[in-house]
Amino acid sequence: MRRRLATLFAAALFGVAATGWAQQADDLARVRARFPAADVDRLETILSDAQADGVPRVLLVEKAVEGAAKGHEPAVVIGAVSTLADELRATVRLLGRDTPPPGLEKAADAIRHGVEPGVVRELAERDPRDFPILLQTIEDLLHAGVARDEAQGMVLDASSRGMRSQDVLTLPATVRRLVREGNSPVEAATSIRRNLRAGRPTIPPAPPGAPYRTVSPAGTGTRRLPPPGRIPPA
Amino acid sequence: MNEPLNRYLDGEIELSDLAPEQRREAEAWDALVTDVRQAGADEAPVGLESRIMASLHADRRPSASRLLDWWVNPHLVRVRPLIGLATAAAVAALLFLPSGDRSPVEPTGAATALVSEEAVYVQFVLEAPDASSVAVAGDFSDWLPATPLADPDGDGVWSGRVRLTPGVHKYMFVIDGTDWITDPQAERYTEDGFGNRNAVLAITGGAGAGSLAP
Repeated sequence: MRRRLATLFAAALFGVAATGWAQQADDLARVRARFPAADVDRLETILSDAQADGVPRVLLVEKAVEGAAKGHEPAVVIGAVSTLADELRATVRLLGRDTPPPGLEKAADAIRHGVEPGVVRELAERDPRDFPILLQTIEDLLHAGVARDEAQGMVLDASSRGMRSQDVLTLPATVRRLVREGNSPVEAATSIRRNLRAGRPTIPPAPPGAPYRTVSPAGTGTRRLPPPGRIPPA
Repeated sequence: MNEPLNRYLDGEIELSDLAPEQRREAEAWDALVTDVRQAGADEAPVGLESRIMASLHADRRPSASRLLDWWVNPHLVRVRPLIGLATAAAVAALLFLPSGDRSPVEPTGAATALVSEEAVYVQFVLEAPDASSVAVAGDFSDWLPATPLADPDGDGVWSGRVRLTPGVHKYMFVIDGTDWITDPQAERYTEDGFGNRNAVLAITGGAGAGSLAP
Protein backbone atom coordinates (compact mmCIF):
# COMPACT_ATOMS: atom_id res chain seq x y z
CA MET A 1 0.00 0.00 0.00
CA ARG A 2 2.81 2.34 0.94
CA ARG A 3 4.62 1.59 -2.31
CA ARG A 4 1.43 2.22 -4.24
CA LEU A 5 0.95 5.61 -2.58
CA ALA A 6 4.55 6.55 -3.27
CA THR A 7 4.11 5.62 -6.90
CA LEU A 8 0.92 7.64 -7.15
CA PHE A 9 2.70 10.60 -5.54
CA ALA A 10 5.52 10.35 -8.07
CA ALA A 11 3.00 10.19 -10.89
CA ALA A 12 1.27 13.28 -9.55
CA LEU A 13 4.58 15.13 -9.37
CA PHE A 14 5.31 14.15 -12.95
CA GLY A 15 1.90 15.44 -13.98
CA VAL A 16 2.49 18.78 -12.29
CA ALA A 17 5.91 19.11 -13.92
CA ALA A 18 4.50 18.21 -17.32
CA THR A 19 1.72 20.76 -16.93
CA GLY A 20 4.25 23.43 -15.96
CA TRP A 21 6.37 22.63 -18.97
CA ALA A 22 3.36 22.78 -21.24
CA GLN A 23 2.43 26.21 -19.89
CA GLN A 24 6.01 27.38 -20.35
CA ALA A 25 5.95 26.17 -23.91
CA ASP A 26 2.92 28.36 -24.64
CA ASP A 27 4.62 31.74 -24.75
CA LEU A 28 1.31 33.49 -25.41
CA ALA A 29 -0.45 31.91 -22.44
CA ARG A 30 -0.88 35.21 -20.61
CA VAL A 31 -2.28 36.84 -23.72
CA ARG A 32 -4.56 33.86 -24.35
CA ALA A 33 -5.91 34.20 -20.81
CA ARG A 34 -7.10 37.75 -21.47
CA PHE A 35 -7.93 37.95 -25.17
CA PRO A 36 -10.60 36.21 -27.27
CA ALA A 37 -9.32 33.30 -29.33
CA ALA A 38 -9.85 35.16 -32.60
CA ASP A 39 -7.52 37.96 -31.49
CA VAL A 40 -4.89 35.49 -30.36
CA ASP A 41 -5.16 33.83 -33.78
CA ARG A 42 -4.52 37.20 -35.45
CA LEU A 43 -1.50 37.68 -33.23
CA GLU A 44 -0.22 34.22 -34.10
CA THR A 45 -0.55 35.06 -37.80
CA ILE A 46 1.45 38.27 -37.36
CA LEU A 47 4.08 36.37 -35.41
CA SER A 48 4.34 33.57 -37.98
CA ASP A 49 4.62 35.97 -40.91
CA ALA A 50 7.31 37.99 -39.14
CA GLN A 51 9.18 34.84 -38.15
CA ALA A 52 9.26 33.79 -41.77
CA ASP A 53 11.07 37.06 -42.48
CA GLY A 54 13.64 36.38 -39.77
CA VAL A 55 12.11 38.45 -36.98
CA PRO A 56 12.68 36.79 -33.58
CA ARG A 57 9.35 35.67 -32.19
CA VAL A 58 10.43 36.47 -28.65
CA LEU A 59 10.43 40.22 -29.31
CA LEU A 60 6.88 40.24 -30.62
CA VAL A 61 5.63 37.93 -27.90
CA GLU A 62 7.17 40.24 -25.32
CA LYS A 63 5.32 43.22 -26.81
CA ALA A 64 2.02 41.30 -26.79
CA VAL A 65 2.58 40.19 -23.20
CA GLU A 66 3.44 43.76 -22.21
CA GLY A 67 0.23 45.06 -23.76
CA ALA A 68 -1.88 42.38 -22.12
CA ALA A 69 -0.22 42.97 -18.74
CA LYS A 70 -0.92 46.69 -18.98
CA GLY A 71 -4.59 45.96 -19.66
CA HIS A 72 -4.83 47.29 -23.21
CA GLU A 73 -7.57 46.22 -25.59
CA PRO A 74 -6.72 43.44 -28.07
CA ALA A 75 -6.96 45.79 -31.06
CA VAL A 76 -4.40 48.14 -29.51
CA VAL A 77 -2.03 45.29 -28.73
CA ILE A 78 -2.41 43.77 -32.18
CA GLY A 79 -1.67 47.16 -33.74
CA ALA A 80 1.45 47.64 -31.61
CA VAL A 81 2.73 44.15 -32.37
CA SER A 82 2.10 44.61 -36.08
CA THR A 83 3.94 47.95 -36.12
CA LEU A 84 6.87 46.48 -34.22
CA ALA A 85 6.96 43.51 -36.59
CA ASP A 86 7.30 45.87 -39.56
CA GLU A 87 10.08 47.83 -37.84
CA LEU A 88 11.93 44.65 -36.95
CA ARG A 89 11.60 43.33 -40.51
CA ALA A 90 13.44 46.42 -41.72
CA THR A 91 16.05 45.99 -38.99
CA VAL A 92 16.59 42.34 -39.88
CA ARG A 93 17.11 43.32 -43.50
CA LEU A 94 19.64 45.92 -42.33
CA LEU A 95 21.61 43.87 -39.81
CA GLY A 96 20.98 40.27 -40.83
CA ARG A 97 19.18 37.36 -39.25
CA ASP A 98 22.06 36.49 -36.95
CA THR A 99 21.72 39.67 -34.92
CA PRO A 100 20.73 38.93 -31.33
CA PRO A 101 17.17 39.96 -30.41
CA PRO A 102 18.21 42.73 -27.93
CA GLY A 103 20.34 44.28 -30.65
CA LEU A 104 17.54 44.13 -33.21
CA GLU A 105 15.10 45.67 -30.77
CA LYS A 106 17.45 48.51 -29.86
CA ALA A 107 18.31 49.13 -33.51
CA ALA A 108 14.62 49.44 -34.40
CA ASP A 109 14.17 51.81 -31.48
CA ALA A 110 17.17 53.93 -32.51
CA ILE A 111 16.00 54.21 -36.12
CA ARG A 112 12.57 55.22 -34.87
CA HIS A 113 14.27 57.99 -32.86
CA GLY A 114 16.19 59.34 -35.81
CA VAL A 115 19.49 57.46 -35.89
CA GLU A 116 20.55 56.79 -39.46
CA PRO A 117 20.35 53.13 -40.53
CA GLY A 118 23.88 53.30 -41.94
CA VAL A 119 25.24 54.34 -38.55
CA VAL A 120 23.27 51.58 -36.86
CA ARG A 121 24.80 49.02 -39.19
CA GLU A 122 28.32 50.42 -38.79
CA LEU A 123 28.12 50.28 -34.99
CA ALA A 124 26.63 46.79 -35.08
CA GLU A 125 29.48 45.56 -37.26
CA ARG A 126 32.08 47.33 -35.17
CA ASP A 127 30.85 46.25 -31.75
CA PRO A 128 28.32 43.39 -32.04
CA ARG A 129 28.22 42.97 -28.28
CA ASP A 130 27.70 46.49 -26.99
CA PHE A 131 26.15 48.34 -29.91
CA PRO A 132 22.77 48.64 -28.17
CA ILE A 133 24.49 50.74 -25.51
CA LEU A 134 26.15 52.86 -28.21
CA LEU A 135 22.80 53.39 -29.94
CA GLN A 136 21.24 54.36 -26.64
CA THR A 137 24.02 56.92 -26.20
CA ILE A 138 23.21 58.51 -29.56
CA GLU A 139 19.56 58.71 -28.55
CA ASP A 140 20.56 60.32 -25.25
CA LEU A 141 22.74 62.85 -27.07
CA LEU A 142 19.85 63.72 -29.39
CA HIS A 143 17.66 64.15 -26.34
CA ALA A 144 20.31 66.44 -24.81
CA GLY A 145 20.00 68.72 -27.83
CA VAL A 146 22.99 67.58 -29.86
CA ALA A 147 22.42 67.57 -33.63
CA ARG A 148 22.12 64.15 -35.24
CA ASP A 149 25.32 64.22 -37.27
CA GLU A 150 27.30 65.48 -34.28
CA ALA A 151 25.76 62.86 -31.93
CA GLN A 152 26.43 60.02 -34.33
CA GLY A 153 29.93 61.28 -35.06
CA MET A 154 30.74 61.54 -31.36
CA VAL A 155 29.77 57.91 -30.68
CA LEU A 156 31.51 56.66 -33.82
CA ASP A 157 34.66 58.51 -32.75
CA ALA A 158 34.45 57.06 -29.25
CA SER A 159 33.86 53.56 -30.60
CA SER A 160 36.68 53.72 -33.15
CA ARG A 161 39.07 54.80 -30.39
CA GLY A 162 38.18 51.78 -28.30
CA MET A 163 36.35 53.68 -25.57
CA ARG A 164 34.54 51.33 -23.20
CA SER A 165 30.77 51.27 -23.55
CA GLN A 166 30.25 52.36 -19.94
CA ASP A 167 32.38 55.42 -20.66
CA VAL A 168 30.59 56.14 -23.93
CA LEU A 169 27.32 56.05 -22.02
CA THR A 170 28.51 58.99 -19.87
CA LEU A 171 28.96 61.31 -22.87
CA PRO A 172 25.41 62.71 -22.74
CA ALA A 173 25.90 63.54 -19.06
CA THR A 174 29.04 65.44 -20.00
CA VAL A 175 27.12 67.35 -22.66
CA ARG A 176 24.42 68.27 -20.17
CA ARG A 177 27.03 69.38 -17.69
CA LEU A 178 28.74 71.63 -20.24
CA VAL A 179 25.36 73.06 -21.21
CA ARG A 180 24.65 73.81 -17.58
CA GLU A 181 27.96 75.65 -17.50
CA GLY A 182 26.71 77.92 -20.25
CA ASN A 183 27.75 76.18 -23.45
CA SER A 184 25.34 75.44 -26.25
CA PRO A 185 24.78 71.74 -27.10
CA VAL A 186 26.75 72.28 -30.31
CA GLU A 187 29.68 73.79 -28.40
CA ALA A 188 29.55 71.03 -25.83
CA ALA A 189 29.54 68.31 -28.47
CA THR A 190 32.32 69.95 -30.44
CA SER A 191 34.46 70.25 -27.33
CA ILE A 192 33.96 66.62 -26.36
CA ARG A 193 34.65 65.39 -29.87
CA ARG A 194 37.83 67.46 -30.06
CA ASN A 195 39.02 65.89 -26.83
CA LEU A 196 38.12 62.42 -28.10
CA ARG A 197 40.11 62.87 -31.26
CA ALA A 198 43.07 64.26 -29.34
CA GLY A 199 42.97 61.34 -26.92
CA ARG A 200 42.26 63.65 -23.98
CA PRO A 201 39.69 62.96 -21.25
CA THR A 202 36.22 63.87 -22.43
CA ILE A 203 35.11 65.10 -19.05
CA PRO A 204 36.60 68.50 -18.27
CA PRO A 205 37.26 69.25 -14.59
CA ALA A 206 34.31 70.75 -12.81
CA PRO A 207 34.59 74.35 -11.67
CA PRO A 208 35.27 74.63 -7.93
CA GLY A 209 32.11 74.42 -5.87
CA ALA A 210 29.86 73.53 -8.79
CA PRO A 211 26.70 71.93 -7.37
CA TYR A 212 26.34 69.20 -9.98
CA ARG A 213 24.31 66.15 -9.18
CA THR A 214 25.56 62.79 -10.34
CA VAL A 215 22.41 60.79 -9.60
CA SER A 216 18.69 61.35 -9.85
CA PRO A 217 17.10 63.62 -7.28
CA ALA A 218 16.72 61.96 -3.90
CA GLY A 219 13.52 60.03 -3.43
CA THR A 220 12.72 59.24 -7.04
CA GLY A 221 14.11 57.50 -10.07
CA THR A 222 16.71 54.78 -10.03
CA ARG A 223 20.14 54.31 -8.60
CA ARG A 224 22.90 51.98 -9.54
CA LEU A 225 23.97 50.24 -6.36
CA PRO A 226 27.39 48.95 -5.35
CA PRO A 227 28.31 45.37 -6.25
CA PRO A 228 26.06 42.73 -4.65
CA GLY A 229 28.64 41.62 -2.14
CA ARG A 230 28.28 44.84 -0.26
CA ILE A 231 24.52 44.96 -0.27
CA PRO A 232 22.54 43.60 2.64
CA PRO A 233 19.65 41.37 1.61
CA ALA A 234 16.58 43.32 0.57
CA MET B 1 24.44 -22.17 4.60
CA ASN B 2 28.13 -22.22 5.43
CA GLU B 3 30.98 -22.06 2.97
CA PRO B 4 32.31 -25.70 3.18
CA LEU B 5 28.79 -27.07 2.71
CA ASN B 6 28.31 -24.83 -0.32
CA ARG B 7 31.55 -26.08 -1.81
CA TYR B 8 30.51 -29.71 -1.17
CA LEU B 9 27.13 -29.21 -2.88
CA ASP B 10 28.94 -27.57 -5.80
CA GLY B 11 31.11 -30.66 -6.10
CA GLU B 12 34.31 -28.88 -5.25
CA ILE B 13 35.20 -30.99 -2.18
CA GLU B 14 34.44 -34.48 -0.95
CA LEU B 15 32.13 -35.47 1.90
CA SER B 16 35.11 -36.61 3.86
CA ASP B 17 36.53 -33.10 3.78
CA LEU B 18 33.69 -31.81 5.93
CA ALA B 19 33.58 -31.63 9.71
CA PRO B 20 31.30 -34.28 11.32
CA GLU B 21 28.37 -31.94 12.00
CA GLN B 22 28.61 -30.48 8.48
CA ARG B 23 28.80 -34.01 7.12
CA ARG B 24 25.41 -34.82 8.68
CA GLU B 25 23.84 -31.76 7.15
CA ALA B 26 25.41 -32.60 3.79
CA GLU B 27 23.96 -36.10 3.93
CA ALA B 28 20.52 -34.65 4.66
CA TRP B 29 20.87 -32.40 1.53
CA ASP B 30 21.97 -35.41 -0.51
CA ALA B 31 18.90 -37.35 0.61
CA LEU B 32 16.63 -34.47 -0.36
CA VAL B 33 18.19 -34.20 -3.81
CA THR B 34 17.85 -37.95 -4.29
CA ASP B 35 14.14 -37.83 -3.33
CA VAL B 36 13.44 -35.07 -5.81
CA ARG B 37 15.21 -36.95 -8.58
CA GLN B 38 13.35 -40.12 -7.80
CA ALA B 39 10.04 -38.28 -7.92
CA GLY B 40 10.70 -37.76 -11.65
CA ALA B 41 9.06 -34.33 -11.72
CA ASP B 42 10.60 -33.30 -15.00
CA GLU B 43 7.29 -32.27 -16.51
CA ALA B 44 4.53 -30.09 -15.19
CA PRO B 45 1.58 -32.02 -13.69
CA VAL B 46 -1.28 -32.70 -16.04
CA GLY B 47 -3.76 -29.81 -16.09
CA LEU B 48 -1.45 -27.29 -14.43
CA GLU B 49 -1.55 -24.90 -17.39
CA SER B 50 -5.32 -24.95 -17.67
CA ARG B 51 -5.68 -24.40 -13.92
CA ILE B 52 -3.37 -21.34 -14.08
CA MET B 53 -5.22 -19.89 -17.06
CA ALA B 54 -8.52 -20.47 -15.31
CA SER B 55 -7.30 -18.59 -12.26
CA LEU B 56 -6.18 -15.69 -14.47
CA HIS B 57 -9.57 -15.51 -16.19
CA ALA B 58 -11.20 -15.55 -12.83
CA ASP B 59 -9.74 -12.06 -12.06
CA ARG B 60 -13.00 -10.13 -12.13
CA ARG B 61 -11.83 -7.05 -10.25
CA PRO B 62 -13.16 -3.69 -11.42
CA SER B 63 -11.32 -2.31 -14.45
CA ALA B 64 -10.28 0.79 -12.48
CA SER B 65 -8.53 -1.38 -9.91
CA ARG B 66 -6.77 -3.40 -12.61
CA LEU B 67 -5.77 -0.15 -14.35
CA LEU B 68 -4.37 1.17 -11.09
CA ASP B 69 -2.41 -2.07 -10.63
CA TRP B 70 -1.00 -1.70 -14.13
CA TRP B 71 0.31 1.77 -13.28
CA VAL B 72 1.78 0.94 -9.88
CA ASN B 73 3.17 -2.54 -10.40
CA PRO B 74 6.60 -3.03 -11.97
CA HIS B 75 6.81 -4.12 -15.61
CA LEU B 76 9.62 -5.57 -17.58
CA VAL B 77 10.34 -3.17 -20.44
CA ARG B 78 12.62 -4.11 -23.27
CA VAL B 79 14.16 -1.21 -25.13
CA ARG B 80 16.60 -1.19 -28.03
CA PRO B 81 19.60 0.88 -26.88
CA LEU B 82 19.56 3.07 -29.99
CA ILE B 83 15.87 3.84 -29.61
CA GLY B 84 16.37 4.51 -25.91
CA LEU B 85 19.20 6.94 -26.62
CA ALA B 86 17.20 8.70 -29.30
CA THR B 87 14.24 9.08 -26.95
CA ALA B 88 16.48 10.44 -24.19
CA ALA B 89 18.00 12.92 -26.63
CA ALA B 90 14.56 14.06 -27.75
CA VAL B 91 13.40 14.56 -24.17
CA ALA B 92 16.57 16.46 -23.31
CA ALA B 93 16.13 18.67 -26.37
CA LEU B 94 12.56 19.47 -25.37
CA LEU B 95 13.56 20.25 -21.79
CA PHE B 96 16.50 22.45 -22.64
CA LEU B 97 14.99 24.24 -25.61
CA PRO B 98 14.73 27.93 -24.66
CA SER B 99 11.18 28.76 -23.72
CA GLY B 100 9.27 31.56 -25.34
CA ASP B 101 11.01 31.32 -28.67
CA ARG B 102 11.01 28.16 -30.67
CA SER B 103 11.60 29.71 -34.03
CA PRO B 104 14.04 27.81 -36.19
CA VAL B 105 15.30 31.12 -37.61
CA GLU B 106 15.95 32.58 -34.18
CA PRO B 107 19.57 33.65 -33.68
CA THR B 108 20.97 32.22 -30.50
CA GLY B 109 24.06 32.54 -28.38
CA ALA B 110 25.13 36.13 -28.89
CA ALA B 111 22.18 37.47 -26.93
CA THR B 112 23.39 35.57 -23.91
CA ALA B 113 26.87 36.98 -24.34
CA LEU B 114 25.41 40.44 -24.26
CA VAL B 115 23.75 40.12 -20.91
CA SER B 116 25.28 37.23 -19.04
CA GLU B 117 28.64 38.45 -17.81
CA GLU B 118 27.58 40.43 -14.82
CA ALA B 119 24.50 41.50 -12.95
CA VAL B 120 23.90 44.87 -11.40
CA TYR B 121 21.59 45.74 -8.57
CA VAL B 122 19.42 48.74 -9.35
CA GLN B 123 17.33 50.48 -6.76
CA PHE B 124 13.95 51.71 -7.90
CA VAL B 125 12.41 54.57 -5.97
CA LEU B 126 9.00 56.18 -6.40
CA GLU B 127 7.27 58.81 -4.33
CA ALA B 128 3.61 57.79 -4.13
CA PRO B 129 2.07 58.91 -0.84
CA ASP B 130 -1.45 57.69 -1.66
CA ALA B 131 -0.47 54.23 -2.87
CA SER B 132 -1.31 51.07 -0.98
CA SER B 133 1.25 49.09 -2.94
CA VAL B 134 3.88 49.80 -5.56
CA ALA B 135 5.72 47.31 -7.75
CA VAL B 136 8.06 47.55 -10.68
CA ALA B 137 7.48 45.61 -13.90
CA GLY B 138 9.60 45.52 -16.98
CA ASP B 139 11.09 43.45 -19.73
CA PHE B 140 13.29 41.90 -17.05
CA SER B 141 10.20 40.46 -15.31
CA ASP B 142 8.14 39.56 -18.39
CA TRP B 143 6.08 42.61 -17.48
CA LEU B 144 4.84 40.98 -14.33
CA PRO B 145 4.82 43.34 -11.34
CA ALA B 146 7.04 40.83 -9.65
CA THR B 147 9.13 43.14 -7.50
CA PRO B 148 7.14 44.96 -4.85
CA LEU B 149 8.64 48.17 -3.51
CA ALA B 150 8.53 48.84 0.21
CA ASP B 151 7.71 51.88 2.26
CA PRO B 152 8.64 50.74 5.76
CA ASP B 153 8.51 54.15 7.41
CA GLY B 154 5.24 55.18 5.74
CA ASP B 155 6.57 58.43 4.28
CA GLY B 156 5.21 57.63 0.84
CA VAL B 157 8.61 56.93 -0.69
CA TRP B 158 8.64 53.36 -2.01
CA SER B 159 11.85 51.61 -2.89
CA GLY B 160 13.21 48.20 -3.79
CA ARG B 161 16.11 46.72 -5.61
CA VAL B 162 16.21 44.48 -8.65
CA ARG B 163 19.06 42.42 -10.06
CA LEU B 164 19.47 43.30 -13.72
CA THR B 165 21.80 42.11 -16.42
CA PRO B 166 23.76 44.55 -18.58
CA GLY B 167 21.80 45.91 -21.51
CA VAL B 168 18.95 48.26 -22.20
CA HIS B 169 15.84 47.64 -20.09
CA LYS B 170 12.33 49.13 -20.09
CA TYR B 171 10.06 49.36 -17.08
CA MET B 172 7.02 51.00 -15.48
CA PHE B 173 5.69 51.21 -11.95
CA VAL B 174 2.42 49.50 -11.01
CA ILE B 175 0.46 51.20 -8.26
CA ASP B 176 -2.15 49.27 -6.28
CA GLY B 177 -1.85 46.40 -8.70
CA THR B 178 -3.72 48.15 -11.51
CA ASP B 179 -2.35 51.59 -12.39
CA TRP B 180 0.67 51.53 -14.67
CA ILE B 181 2.65 54.75 -14.46
CA THR B 182 5.84 55.94 -16.08
CA ASP B 183 8.74 56.72 -13.75
CA PRO B 184 8.53 60.52 -13.53
CA GLN B 185 12.24 60.80 -12.75
CA ALA B 186 13.67 58.37 -15.28
CA GLU B 187 16.74 59.36 -17.18
CA ARG B 188 15.30 58.35 -20.53
CA TYR B 189 12.07 57.15 -22.07
CA THR B 190 10.75 55.36 -25.12
CA GLU B 191 7.23 54.96 -26.51
CA ASP B 192 5.68 51.67 -25.49
CA GLY B 193 3.55 51.35 -28.63
CA PHE B 194 0.34 51.58 -26.65
CA GLY B 195 0.24 55.35 -26.29
CA ASN B 196 2.37 55.58 -23.15
CA ARG B 197 6.07 55.75 -22.37
CA ASN B 198 8.32 53.19 -20.76
CA ALA B 199 11.26 54.38 -18.72
CA VAL B 200 14.56 53.08 -20.05
CA LEU B 201 17.60 51.90 -18.14
CA ALA B 202 20.93 51.41 -19.86
CA ILE B 203 23.23 49.22 -17.83
CA THR B 204 26.79 48.42 -18.69
CA GLY B 205 28.85 45.69 -17.17
CA GLY B 206 31.83 47.69 -16.00
CA ALA B 207 32.20 48.38 -12.31
CA GLY B 208 31.69 51.97 -11.36
CA ALA B 209 30.18 52.96 -14.68
CA GLY B 210 27.94 55.95 -14.37
CA SER B 211 25.27 54.40 -16.51
CA LEU B 212 22.48 55.93 -14.49
CA ALA B 213 24.01 59.37 -14.16
CA PRO B 214 21.96 62.04 -15.91
